[in-house]
Amino acid sequence: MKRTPLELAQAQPGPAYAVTVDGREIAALPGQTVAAVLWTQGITSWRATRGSGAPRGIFCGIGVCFDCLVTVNDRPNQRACLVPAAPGDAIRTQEGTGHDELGHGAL
Amino acid sequence: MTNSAMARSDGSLAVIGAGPAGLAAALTAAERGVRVVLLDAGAQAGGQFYRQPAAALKARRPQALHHAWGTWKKLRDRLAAQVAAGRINHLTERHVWCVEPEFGDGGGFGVHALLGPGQTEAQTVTADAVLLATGGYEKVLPFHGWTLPGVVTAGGAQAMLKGGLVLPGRTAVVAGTGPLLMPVAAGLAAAGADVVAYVESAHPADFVRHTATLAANPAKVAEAAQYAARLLRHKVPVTVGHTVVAAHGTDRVEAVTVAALDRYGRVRPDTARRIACDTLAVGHGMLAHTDLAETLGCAIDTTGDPFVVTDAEQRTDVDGVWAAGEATGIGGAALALAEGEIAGHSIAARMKGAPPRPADWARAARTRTRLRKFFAALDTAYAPPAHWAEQVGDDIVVCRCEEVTAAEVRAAVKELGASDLRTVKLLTRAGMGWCQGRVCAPGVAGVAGCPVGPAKRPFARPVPLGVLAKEPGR
Repeated sequence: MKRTPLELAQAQPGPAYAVTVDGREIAALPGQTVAAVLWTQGITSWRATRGSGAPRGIFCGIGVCFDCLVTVNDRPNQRACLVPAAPGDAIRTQEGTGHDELGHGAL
Repeated sequence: MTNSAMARSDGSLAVIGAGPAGLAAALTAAERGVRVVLLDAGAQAGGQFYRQPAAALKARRPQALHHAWGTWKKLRDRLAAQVAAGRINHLTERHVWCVEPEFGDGGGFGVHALLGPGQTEAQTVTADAVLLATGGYEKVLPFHGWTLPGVVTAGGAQAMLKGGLVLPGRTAVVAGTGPLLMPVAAGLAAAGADVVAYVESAHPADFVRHTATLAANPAKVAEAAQYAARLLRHKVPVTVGHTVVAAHGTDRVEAVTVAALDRYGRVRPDTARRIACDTLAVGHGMLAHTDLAETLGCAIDTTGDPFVVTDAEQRTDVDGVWAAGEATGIGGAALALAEGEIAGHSIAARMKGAPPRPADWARAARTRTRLRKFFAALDTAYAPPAHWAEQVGDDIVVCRCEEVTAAEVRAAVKELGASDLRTVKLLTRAGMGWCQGRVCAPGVAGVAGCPVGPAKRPFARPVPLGVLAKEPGR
C-alpha cells in the first residue's frame, strides 16, 4: 500500500463529517475544500458545460479557470477549488449555467 | 499622486499578495516603520509557492511538501512579529478586484476587495502606496482531450496537494515544459501517486548553449539535481524531447498518447506511444497576473507573455505603485523574494521623502540580476515546441469556457480577416467566458497567429453587481 498525502504531511485532522453530493452522503475532512472532498471520494467531474454538456472538474486548482464550478447549498457557480466544505453541505453537480435546476430559470 | 505628496502623509502601504514577493516587500517596509496592509486571497500567507495545508488538517510535517522550508519559516516568524507589533495588518481571504487611483478625499489609492470564500461582501482599503505582488498562474496550450476531467495543470495538482492533501488519481503522467514540472512530479510521487511518465518537450541540447548561465547559479542547478534524484528514487521514467499529443477518455482521462519531437519541434510520425493513466498534470510555463496593473495604467511589456514593467527600484511607471515577483516577469520564488525586498526598501525610503539608497539592497540586486539572467536562459530552453499551434486539430476546443474550436478561430482569421486577439474574441466568443481569456489567451493567439497583447480587463475577477452598485461615486 502506497502512502497517502495525509500520511506524508503527518496530518491529524479532527473526525470526518458528512456532506451530500447529489443527495448521497460522503465523508469530508475538516479543512478540505469542496474539490478536495470530491477528489478524496474519487470524483473528478461535477459540471456539464453549457454548450456540449462535456464533463468538467478541477483544471487550474487556484481559482483562475472557473472550470470547477459547483452548486453548494443552492448557490450555483462556486469554485470548488476555493470554497471550504462545511458539515451538512449539500453539494450538487451543475448543468450549463447552474441556474436551471434551481428554478430560477436560465440567466 | 506624486512621490512628494506621499512624503507629506504619514502613509500606509497596501501590499496585494502574500506570496514570496509580497511578504518580502511587506516585511522590509514594515521593519523600516511603514504601516502595511497586506491583502491576500488565501486563508494563510504563503502564496502558491509556500501554500500551506488548511489549518484544520493539522499537518505536523507540511515541510514534506515543500522546498526551501527554512526560508519560509523565517518569513512566517517575521510576519508574526510585525503583525503582533501592529505594523502589518494581514487581511486574509481578500480577493482584490480593482485598485483605484485618486480615491476619495485623501487622494490615495482605493483597494477594492471581495471577502472570501463567499465573495458577495466587499471591503475597500485606502492606502498611499501600493505594491502589486499578484503572482502568476500556469500556461497550458491546447491539445486533443485537454478538457477531460483528470487533466489538470501541473501547478493545480500541486496546489491541491499542498493545500488539501489530496491527489487527483493514482496513476499520473506529468508533461509539458518548464522547471515547475520537476517539483510537481516529485511531489505527486512522494505523496503516493504512481508517476508513470515525466514527459518534457525540451531537449538537453537546448540547455547546452546556456552552460555558462547555468554554472553561475549553482544553487539552482543543485535544486534541479535534488529533484532529479527524487524522481530516480521514485522510479519515475523521464522522457525528454517528447510531447503529449492527446489525452483519451470519455468521462475522465484514461490514457495519453506521447510522441517524439524532431529538432524543429514537429511531432515525429510513427513515434506515438499510449500510456494508461488516470491523471495528466500538464503545463507549458507560467503567466503573470497583470490585471490590477493594467487597470491602474501601468506599462505592460507585451512583446511576449505580458508582464508589468518596473525600474531598478521595482517601481511601475504609475506614481506610488510598485510591483514585484511573477507579475513583473516569471522567475520563481527566490527572484520574487529579492524583488520584494528591493521594493520594500524603495517604498520605505520614498514614503519618508528620503532618497532611496541602493547600497541597502545591493545583495538583493545582485541576486535579482543573476536570477533574471538564469530564467531568461531557462525560458529559451523550455519553450513549447516551435510548431505546437499547427498541431492543434480543427476539432479541438481552444477556449474552454465558451467551447470555441480551433476551426472557428482559424475561420475568424482566414475568412473574416481578424488579425488580433480582441477581434477573434468578438467574432468567436473565445476569451469571453468565466475566465475572461486568462486560460485560453496563449492558445487562441497561437492558433490565430497573432500576439497575446494586453488583456484590458476592467476587473481582476468577477464582481457581483450588488457590490458594484454600492461603490461610492457611481
